[in-house]
Amino acid sequence: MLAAVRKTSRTTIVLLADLLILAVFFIPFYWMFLTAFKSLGQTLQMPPIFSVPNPRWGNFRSAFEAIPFLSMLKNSVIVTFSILVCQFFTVVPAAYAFARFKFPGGRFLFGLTLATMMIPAQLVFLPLFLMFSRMGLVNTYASLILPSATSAFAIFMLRQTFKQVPQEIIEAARLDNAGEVKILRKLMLPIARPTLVTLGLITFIAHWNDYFWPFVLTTNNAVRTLPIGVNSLRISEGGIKYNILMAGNVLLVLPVLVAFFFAQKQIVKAFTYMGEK
Amino acid sequence: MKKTPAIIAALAIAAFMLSPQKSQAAPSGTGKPIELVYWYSWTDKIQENNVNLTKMFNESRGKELNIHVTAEYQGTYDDLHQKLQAAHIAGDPPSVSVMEIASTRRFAQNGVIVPLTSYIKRDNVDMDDFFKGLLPNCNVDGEWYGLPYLRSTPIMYMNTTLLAKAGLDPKGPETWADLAEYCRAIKEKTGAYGLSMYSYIWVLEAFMLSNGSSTLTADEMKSNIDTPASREVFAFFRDLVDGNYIRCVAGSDSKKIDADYMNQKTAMWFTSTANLTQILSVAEENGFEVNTCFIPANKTHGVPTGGCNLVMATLQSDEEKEAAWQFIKWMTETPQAAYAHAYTGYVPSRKSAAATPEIQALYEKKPQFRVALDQLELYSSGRPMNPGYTQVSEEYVAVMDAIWVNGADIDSTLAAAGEKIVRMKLLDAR
Repeated sequence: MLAAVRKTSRTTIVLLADLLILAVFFIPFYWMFLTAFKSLGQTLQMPPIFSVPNPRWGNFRSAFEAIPFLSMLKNSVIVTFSILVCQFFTVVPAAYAFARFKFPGGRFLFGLTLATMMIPAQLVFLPLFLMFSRMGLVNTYASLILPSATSAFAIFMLRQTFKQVPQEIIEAARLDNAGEVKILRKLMLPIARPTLVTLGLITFIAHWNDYFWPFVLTTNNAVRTLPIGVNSLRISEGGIKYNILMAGNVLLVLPVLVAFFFAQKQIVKAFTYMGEK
Repeated sequence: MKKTPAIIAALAIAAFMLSPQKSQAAPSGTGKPIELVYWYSWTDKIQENNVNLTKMFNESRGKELNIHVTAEYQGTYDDLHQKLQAAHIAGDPPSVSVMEIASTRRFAQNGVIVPLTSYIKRDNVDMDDFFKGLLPNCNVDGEWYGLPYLRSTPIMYMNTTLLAKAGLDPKGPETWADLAEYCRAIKEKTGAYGLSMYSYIWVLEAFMLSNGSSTLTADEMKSNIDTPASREVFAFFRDLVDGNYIRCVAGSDSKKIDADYMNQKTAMWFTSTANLTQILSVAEENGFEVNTCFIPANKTHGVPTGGCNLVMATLQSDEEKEAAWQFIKWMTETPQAAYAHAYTGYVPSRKSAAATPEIQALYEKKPQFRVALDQLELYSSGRPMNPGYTQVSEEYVAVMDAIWVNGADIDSTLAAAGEKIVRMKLLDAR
């Protein structure tokens, strides 16, 4: 009896804690969506209103018209997916080499790779900017893609996953005359799938939302990405239109939400798999 | 993992990356026009104004002179300044740019921008037609480096619906004593704060001016933060804070002022003339009336100006400079000055622009605009241009936060700030 009571109260506490965590993550999103439908006068209303009687769909149109939305969306898609593809081709071989081969200088090179993670972007942006500027690459896709064409973090994560694959399986494949590329393609990558999806999603979110670098490297709208456009809705000297700003934000985060929705299962798998070891 | 699509994608990226992306098509017309790039700050109405005026130039004067200008948005003034600096170092600056007025000296001293004096003399630009308060920040050591463009002043906004409830004159307070009286009456009779403000350097500049002083000495070599005039400004608002008649928030919490005025939690607040259009529309939606008045006077009336001038980059050919000057000149001529004033709510830069029939008609319809103009005409002055002032301003904001928001002792805080500015030699680099 006592145990049952204890169990129920424990479940209740866990449930309450869950609800609390849910609220912490959910409310900002809810507030963003809600504000996107308000009139300007309603946005900062106190006490806050949690439902909008006559939603203003026009806000989305205003946000859409205030910035060159479609061309920025196109730029975001090109830059983000190019980075994903580039990283796939640079990260996978590097991670495989660091994980499964012993070669002279291997440890040093891996250390060097990790060291790049510890230098903040703000420290290198001026020399990088000058370099790109001298090469005439300002306002090109290259300047937005190349600095992120590989990722030390991704190499590190994937190396950990590759290390977990038992040596016997690889030996067996080698006995069957499989080359390294084949082993990578048919064996390592399928095993590392959850990690790859997770890394892909992390990279996608980071670069989809990236503001600093694209803003530094562009002086016109030719290759500017969506976060610059959405942020520009805030850069108003005549007062901020919070409702239009939030409508822009909704349009910006929708692809991220959709991507997360589809990748969710793989992410959970990636972390549990690593935990099982 | 299928590889073929990935390889195709990689090839496509390579092709994309290597082709430079052009943002604007070249204009038509005989001969190759001189292409100029023009950088501006801010979006919304200000962006539309910049884009519209550039388009008008390209279709009129630009067509005659075979000049084509492309306007490019660069974020806030700070963003634009940083990019301008970087572009100068990289050797590829825009021909013409806007520049926040207090930064003019820094960019002039570093050779990023060139004097316009010879062009102004050659083309007989009537500098006396610009409002006097707008000119000090265009001039560095006797040379004109910019022409006034989108300029503003802080003014006091009042919720006259609350003022009426408290039985106060909707014309607003004339002096500091009136201001204190208004704040007390509003708090006691309506429950709303008399005034909401954040630690805002522009407001401090205004109140130092209205107290017969300024934030820096006239030669800009010393700070006036630890002087009797400054102590009086800080004590004035501190008393009102202590009496709970007004609300002061930190400089980083500036958005709270929006919430306060929109919800009628405050009857008065200070902000730029450029906010008038939006504030009037919010007031209408939320059911209250708004009026504007001068920054209240103690020893005198006084107000700093703000906003941006048009400047010309050093690193370009003489031919491009001539074209850039033609653009700057056209942008600041009377019809364009009137257009920008009406479109954005910034103050008119020229007396002749304020006198046009369209602008006079605007004042009939929205008398709140007139207040800004009168204050500009009668009492405005420039902002300090010492390159160290950016950092000094940060010290001042920290002092405002400490005294008005966190209740620090006035005398010791001001003395410490004054000493720090001397010790760090912040103003020695003029």
